Amino acid sequence: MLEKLLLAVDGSPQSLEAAKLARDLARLSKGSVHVVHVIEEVIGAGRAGDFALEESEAAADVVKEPTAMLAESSVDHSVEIRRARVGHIAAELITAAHEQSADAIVMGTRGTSTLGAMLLGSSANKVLHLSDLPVIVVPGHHGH
Amino acid sequence: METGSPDGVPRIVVGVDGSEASLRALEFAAEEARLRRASLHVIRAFPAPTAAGIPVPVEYFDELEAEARRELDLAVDAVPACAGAREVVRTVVAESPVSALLAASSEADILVVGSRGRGGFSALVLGSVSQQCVQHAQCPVVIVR
Repeated sequence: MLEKLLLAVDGSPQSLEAAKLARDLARLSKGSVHVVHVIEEVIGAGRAGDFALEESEAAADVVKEPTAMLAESSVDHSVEIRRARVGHIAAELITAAHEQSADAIVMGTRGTSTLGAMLLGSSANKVLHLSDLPVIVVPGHHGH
Repeated sequence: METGSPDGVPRIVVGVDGSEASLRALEFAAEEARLRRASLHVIRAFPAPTAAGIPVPVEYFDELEAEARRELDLAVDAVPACAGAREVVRTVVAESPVSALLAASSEADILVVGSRGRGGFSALVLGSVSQQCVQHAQCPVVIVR
């Protein structure tokens, strides 16, 4: 059922927890994981030269560890870096999931608190509301 | 996969409430339970009934509980994949769905819920129970559409 997972990563420790779960799920279903990091484009900021390079390097850094984790476990995977306008990360992730015909989106959240909503990342929250695919949300402090 | 359950058996918890989305959640949970050789804990919560703050008579309570149990059995029967789980544990509890599911999530590997159940406004994409589970659960939460 979960043959193809879209794993959304953003460089946070929660992303790594999500990556672990995606890895375990894909192993069980003998499926694959598509790792996606969306760069949020700041309107007006120049894209030329050093800045663009820095941005790509930072993005490559974000996907590095989750990808290595999948590779170590010999889980079939692919990686993609996408761009979206400010505030459109969630929509971009959902578009990516459809392009890949993913069965579910896996992503981290910032864990629990009495302030709940404030600690659920705004992108994660938007994906939950916008997605027509199952969404698997992994808390950051997920210990086991 | 390592498990957080007290008996060392992988545990998948799913909430059902008779809604379409909760049946799809059960299908999803059953399939995962089969793959993980996990026990499948199916929870049907019904709020403890009160009339103007006073608990209702026992007979009425029993009726509600029996009705909830019938619904739970119907849901499990409607999803053949449940047979693939290591075991199916059915729980009917007189409690709010959110607190019942969150309590169960503390010993689960995964909590599965439908995106929205029976209550509230159908225009909402994500129901309040699902939203609160995502915000407060100790384990990964799967929201099934």
